[in-house]
Amino acid sequence: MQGNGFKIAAVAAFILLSLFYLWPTAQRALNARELAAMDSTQQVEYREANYDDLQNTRERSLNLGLDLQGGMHVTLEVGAGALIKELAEGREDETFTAALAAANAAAVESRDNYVDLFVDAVEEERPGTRLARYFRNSSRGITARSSNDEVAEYLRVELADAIVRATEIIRQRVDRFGVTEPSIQQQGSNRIAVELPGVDEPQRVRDLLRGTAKLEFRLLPDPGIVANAAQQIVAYVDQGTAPAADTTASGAASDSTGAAADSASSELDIASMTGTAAPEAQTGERLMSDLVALVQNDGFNPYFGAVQARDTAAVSAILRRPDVARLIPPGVDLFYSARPIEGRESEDEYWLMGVNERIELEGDVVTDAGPDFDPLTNAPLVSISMNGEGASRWSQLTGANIGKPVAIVLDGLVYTWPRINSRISGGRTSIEGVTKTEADDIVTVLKSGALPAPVQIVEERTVGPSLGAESVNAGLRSLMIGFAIVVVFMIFYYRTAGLVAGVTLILNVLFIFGILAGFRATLTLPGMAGIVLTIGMAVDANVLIFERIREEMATGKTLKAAVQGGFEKALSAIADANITTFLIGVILYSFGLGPIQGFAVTLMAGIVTSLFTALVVTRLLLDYLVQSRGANVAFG
Amino acid sequence: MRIFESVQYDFWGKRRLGLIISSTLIVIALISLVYPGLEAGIDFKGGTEVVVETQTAIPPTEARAALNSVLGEGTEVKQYGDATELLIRTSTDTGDASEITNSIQTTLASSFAGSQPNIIRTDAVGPRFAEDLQRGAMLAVFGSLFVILLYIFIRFDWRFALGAVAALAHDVIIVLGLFALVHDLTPVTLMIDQTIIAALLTIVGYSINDTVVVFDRVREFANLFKTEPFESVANRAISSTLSRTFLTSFTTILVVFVLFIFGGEVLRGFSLSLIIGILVGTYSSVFVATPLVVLLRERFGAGVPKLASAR
Repeated sequence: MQGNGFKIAAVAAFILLSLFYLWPTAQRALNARELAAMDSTQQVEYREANYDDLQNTRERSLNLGLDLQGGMHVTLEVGAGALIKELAEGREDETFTAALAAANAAAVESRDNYVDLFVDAVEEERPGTRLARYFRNSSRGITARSSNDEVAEYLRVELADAIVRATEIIRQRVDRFGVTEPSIQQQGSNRIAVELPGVDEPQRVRDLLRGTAKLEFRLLPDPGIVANAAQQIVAYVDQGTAPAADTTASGAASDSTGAAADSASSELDIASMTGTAAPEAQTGERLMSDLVALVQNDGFNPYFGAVQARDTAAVSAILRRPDVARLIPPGVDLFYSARPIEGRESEDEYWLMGVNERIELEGDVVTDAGPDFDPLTNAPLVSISMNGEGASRWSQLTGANIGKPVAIVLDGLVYTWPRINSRISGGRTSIEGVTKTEADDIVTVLKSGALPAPVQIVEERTVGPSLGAESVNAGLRSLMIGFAIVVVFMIFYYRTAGLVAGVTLILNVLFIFGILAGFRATLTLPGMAGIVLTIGMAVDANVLIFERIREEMATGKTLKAAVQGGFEKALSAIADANITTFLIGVILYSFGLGPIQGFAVTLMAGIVTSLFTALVVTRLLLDYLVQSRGANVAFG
Repeated sequence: MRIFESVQYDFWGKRRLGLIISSTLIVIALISLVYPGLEAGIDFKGGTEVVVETQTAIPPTEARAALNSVLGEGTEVKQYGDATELLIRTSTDTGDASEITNSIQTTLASSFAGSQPNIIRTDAVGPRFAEDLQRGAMLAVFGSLFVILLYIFIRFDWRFALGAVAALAHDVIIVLGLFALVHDLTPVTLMIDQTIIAALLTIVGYSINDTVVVFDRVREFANLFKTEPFESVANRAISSTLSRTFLTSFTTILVVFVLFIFGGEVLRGFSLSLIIGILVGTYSSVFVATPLVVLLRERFGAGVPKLASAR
């Protein structure tokens, strides 16, 4: 036992450190238990009284991953193509448009910087094109004489800058959303990863993150023109696509009792299982008249028709077809209303309506926005104030169009189209027809400013809180049962030495959690699986050592010498085996995302702690038993 | 208690049997990787996956019939865990998960009275993002094989390195092949996603751990019994580590089995692949890696590998 003083001190220090780091976590669990026992008013009081403490323990306790506490993880991608188009400021020509399309297609395959792809595509499209013709921008030093390399560099800088700004704007929006401990990180060259623990309103989050805050004021076209176009387009589309033979079936499919639908879909199942399903064996084309409900022209609202929420994508797709797009009246854009139509039997039917293409006034004139209430009806609204230029243009616009409606369009959805009753001076207006939450979110988006380029959600994972709690329980249950089984087995197989292994295993688990808490790592469900796995594999080092000690004893050595020899001979196998596994952990960590990284972290932590406990703690315990107590340790 | 104590089995003599078993498994695996092929989860294919909890049990086939008309072709519906949970997968990419989740909820609510569907998990992955994940997974698997090749090469020699990596590739192919073969026959969701890749790498880590322990003994005995033919050295090494190999695999399989039973639906595919992987990995360190090293040495001759210098 001489010379073991340092080892004992080290083990004691690690135990204390682990307990120190895990203390806040235990504290937090106790607080939660206390809180759960109170009623809601007591809860509020308790939270207020102990706000600092609670905050403190939360910040220093072990982080649970989103899959364990519920929440939302979103990866956003900044649309590089849209940004480049914006930088061209309307100077695009056919070459530009074709190159942009080519670059977008190439971006799917290639990992190169989007700007390089675009520059190559322009060269491909029309060799020798000078990029400066599209991107002249005297304030940024890009003149007609700038070389293509200079322009490309400028675009790259703009793109990189856009990501940084977008991340900042997203952060502001999330902060106003009021989530505890959100995490917003830039990922790679054009992605932003957002983690929102405990959020269970996916729809709202999506809108908030994606909102580009493109606020527009537009006038409305003549309702008659839109209504005529609607009739023409529906008639044209329905004649153009011969009604498929099974439209009757698809009509019936919506009511689940339709025998035709059932038989059709069961055939479909068999076909898809055997891999013989042809794409046209689906429910067939639906008639546009089924998708869009035409309405009477009321002389004020330029309605195209009413569309069910689930059909909006299908209708948009039809309207984008080049042959159909030709039939839309010139100078008119078709947009959906932001709110469902009131007083209809179906809850989610929206207006598709005509709006003038010309944008009279944009969100850049907005200086301030705030949630407010209509003094008469008490309905929530968003009040907007404009700068001087905006105010004068707004005053002109309203003065010239008294009696006509003006549409307020935000991110491509028409919020309201009130009738202008009189000239509005002073640059104040409001967006009506919103709920309180929507008003708050619109204000958030307007105030955080417009995103430099539209963002797309490329990955989204939402876990409900109940599922998270279930997973925690499942993970903990597996951990305890696995632990118990292994310890019982080790004692059964190795007797006293097995008991020693059991003690080291307890410390091992304590150290893993200590490391996770100390490094502020996040515990995920795969991470818990990693700990369970570690428990199974941690005995490996002990087994290697014990087997060697048995062999040494078989050669007739004393117990003390056998222990000594066993450790020495097992060392090289233990080291090699663990280093390789550790390397795998490193690789998993570098390539994995979220939960998988959590698994890699526990795997690596587990290897380190297993090595330490097997080589140091087991050794100490055996030395103590054999040398100090003179006990005859049985190795089974 | 003791098992396999001071046994001496002739593993080298059984190498033909090992070869037959392994090649049969690999051939079957490779065939099933081509047909029916692996089913990629949304992580690597893109699409939306939703887990819905309902008040009343809805048979998956009926739910699929109802959802097919809304979400279009190729909507998959499986039971997830207990009878009141459904896993719905659709490749329809509207670029917006909200539309899909909303229509799933409204469709189920209207088609099955009293079901009160509640969405408890959503995973949506865009096609480009899925490709990135796929590349990351490939890199991770091949990268780890390469790193191991390098490490064993440094610590032992190239014959050992080749033997080890061949055994690992053998394990990965067989586990993947099994996934391809049975993914639509089992109640467990066996799609290849990030979690399964993590499981594969864990199997690689576990199997190499196993292999290295045997190799370490081979190296030690080769230096002890310099006059003995190498195959009998290998036999001795495997025999003497057999009890440890069995023990460790046994405890690890035990805990992974616990995970499989108690770890919940999320970890089911993960733990199942680990159970299979540990079995295959244990077998391969004895019947694939070591015989290969013996073969390579016969073919290319060898100096005795360096004595370990781990201290």
